[in-house]
Amino acid sequence: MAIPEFSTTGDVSADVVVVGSGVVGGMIANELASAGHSVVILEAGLRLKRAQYVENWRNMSFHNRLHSDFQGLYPQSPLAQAPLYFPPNDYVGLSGPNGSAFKQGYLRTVGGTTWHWAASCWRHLPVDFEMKSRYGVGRDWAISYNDLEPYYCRAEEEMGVSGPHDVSLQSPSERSRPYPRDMIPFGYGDRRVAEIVNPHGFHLVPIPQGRSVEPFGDRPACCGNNNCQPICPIGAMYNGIQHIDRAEARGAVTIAEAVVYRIDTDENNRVTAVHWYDAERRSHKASGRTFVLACNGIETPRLLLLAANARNPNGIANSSDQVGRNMMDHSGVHASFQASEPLWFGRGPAQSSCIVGPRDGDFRSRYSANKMILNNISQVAPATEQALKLGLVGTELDDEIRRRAACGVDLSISLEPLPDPDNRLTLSKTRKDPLGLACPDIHYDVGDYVRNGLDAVNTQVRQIAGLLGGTELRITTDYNANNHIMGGTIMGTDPRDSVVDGNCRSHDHGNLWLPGGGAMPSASVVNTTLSMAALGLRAADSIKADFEKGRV
Amino acid sequence: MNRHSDVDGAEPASHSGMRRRSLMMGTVVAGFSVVLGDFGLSEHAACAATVDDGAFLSVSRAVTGHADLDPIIARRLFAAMRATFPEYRDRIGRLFDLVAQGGSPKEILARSGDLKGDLLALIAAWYTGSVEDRTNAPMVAYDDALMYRPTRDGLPVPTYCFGRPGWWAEPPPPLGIPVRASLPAMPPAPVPQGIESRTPPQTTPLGTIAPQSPPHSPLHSPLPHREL
Repeated sequence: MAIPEFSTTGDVSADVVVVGSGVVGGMIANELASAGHSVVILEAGLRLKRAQYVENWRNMSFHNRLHSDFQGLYPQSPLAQAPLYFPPNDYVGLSGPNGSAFKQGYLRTVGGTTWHWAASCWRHLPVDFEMKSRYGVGRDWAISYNDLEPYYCRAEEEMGVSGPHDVSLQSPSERSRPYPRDMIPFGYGDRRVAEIVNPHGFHLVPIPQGRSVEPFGDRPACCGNNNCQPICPIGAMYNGIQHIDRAEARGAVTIAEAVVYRIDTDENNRVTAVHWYDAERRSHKASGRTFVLACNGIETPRLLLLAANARNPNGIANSSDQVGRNMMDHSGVHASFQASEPLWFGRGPAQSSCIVGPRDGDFRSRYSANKMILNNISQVAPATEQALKLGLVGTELDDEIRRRAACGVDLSISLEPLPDPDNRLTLSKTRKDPLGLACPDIHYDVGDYVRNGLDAVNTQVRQIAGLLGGTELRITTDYNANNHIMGGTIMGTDPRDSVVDGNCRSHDHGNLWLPGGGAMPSASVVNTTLSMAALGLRAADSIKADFEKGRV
Repeated sequence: MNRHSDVDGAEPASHSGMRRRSLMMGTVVAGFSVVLGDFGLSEHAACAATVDDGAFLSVSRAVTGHADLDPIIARRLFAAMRATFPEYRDRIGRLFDLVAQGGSPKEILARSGDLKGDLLALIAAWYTGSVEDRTNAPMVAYDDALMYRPTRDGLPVPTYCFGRPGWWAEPPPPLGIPVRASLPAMPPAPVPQGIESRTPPQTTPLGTIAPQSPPHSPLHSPLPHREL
């Protein structure tokens, strides 16, 4: 077992230096530690226990919980801020026609943002890798679906994904291996909605999920606590901390509260070290043979820009000027209505089924596809707010809460933005974090492709609501963020217009990998984590190959 | 069935109708006799100065219609309300006078006049467990917030386990009350434009999945159930 070496002053040296301890950093660290390499993981945020997050959530005010304050329960390191919205801390400065659609909720903490995801483990469709070739919009990936498919399988196996063994319920169905577990059983609401809407082409399918109804490895079975977001109270849901734990068992060392701010490069533009500030603002150096930045779609491009040096004056890995450009997220809307019969959403995991009928079609040459998650988060809190607003008391109040909780439907709809270089992350010239490092600014416009796709969404939602006898239909008019941050270190074959290659290795630096959402050249409409993990495993293989062939 | 059964007693749901209401009213009357004995039915200015945790609990029981409110939570909520709202003791004093005449929550509301806002705000605090619906407003109850009671038989209080893994595939409880829609249902819309170019592959509708074990309680009915 290889172990990083520490100096008496707190500097460290390892074969592999991983910055970021989320699902991607954790998986890569585990892969390389398992292959016998010494690995150090530098994480800007705190390391806390699950139980504390659970207690913090239960102790939060009703208003915060009702409006999904999924950030507030995660204490932040005073030196490593992340976005907060209750109230807003304006850590990320937003501008542009749809700046408010980019209010991302990512965590800087050991284990990463999958602490508060819902464990949806979707694959991109094969055609999503060829948007330019097939539909004449966006960009093609540097790799094909078939290139990534084995890594999708491995990522599903690492994360213990439960997905439909029934091929007709798979999206996509092009698979070389089955899901490790069959689909999470549908609740009544999923079954009933499928009966009603599927004859009309909506194709409601089970969401592949990183949890299971029987134990998976050392992970317990899901017992439907309905709190996947913002914290699974029992650890039945996959979370990045699981791979951090595994990597550490194989010799990797995690350093929390380590804010990386500088990157050293040599005459061949290979990275030689990164520097970090510890909790007492003392600077240390991590030297290594290979380096991985896995800080999610905002902090990775921010760090690359912050770390500009004499040889790389526009930022590390940025000879193409594409670092921080092409920022994407599944800008979405929510639709809610009261069905004419009880459907009882809120039983079981927080996400269960999803409408994928409008996920692909020739229309994608003109406007965005979409997917609609049938949210399975308990409707009791919104039902209570609505019933209280009606001024009801006594039995009538209780009955109204019960009725609205049982009949309430909430659809979370995702659209697909195209990569646009003008949607750009830059360093703020005025706002600094407590260490004096520039905060990120992001300019964002969803673009006409999404705006036109929203017209189709509105029509489809009205049809679904009609089929379910819906009343009080509300479709939000402002786009919301979905925390699926993509594009800022975009992948391509041409170093002149992209940041990384098909293995997520930076074009500019032979020993620097930038895996994760930032590399994704097309958004599709599905949650990014499984694709991020697959890209991370592919990057890990290419790093291992470099070690085996003596290239590092 | 779950960890809540000992909270609500033998009844799995809070929808016990008249039985619960009769029980509740009896308790409220009994509660008042004790509290009123402490400082009588004098004018509320004098009353407010001596409005205590017991009075707050009595008012709370009367306006919510729930006789079994937890005295500890009541004490915490009263303290949080006093810390948040000016002269809150006076407000409770006035509500105390209002509820002294008895009646159901609906009857009390009907005669509440300019106390209506205070009355509804107190009910909202008990239902949400927080002093008001505002960012970071002080909160005193999570699992015990009254909003979770009406669905205890069918929905978990998020974060708490509700049954053995996969329990959610079993039939939900009957609604037990009319499905009332205040607006007419919308007619089905035309075929959505979003999938106009190519009809995606269809799944056969998923049939009802028979539960693998008997329902939790006699309240459950086989699927599909229809309401009234």
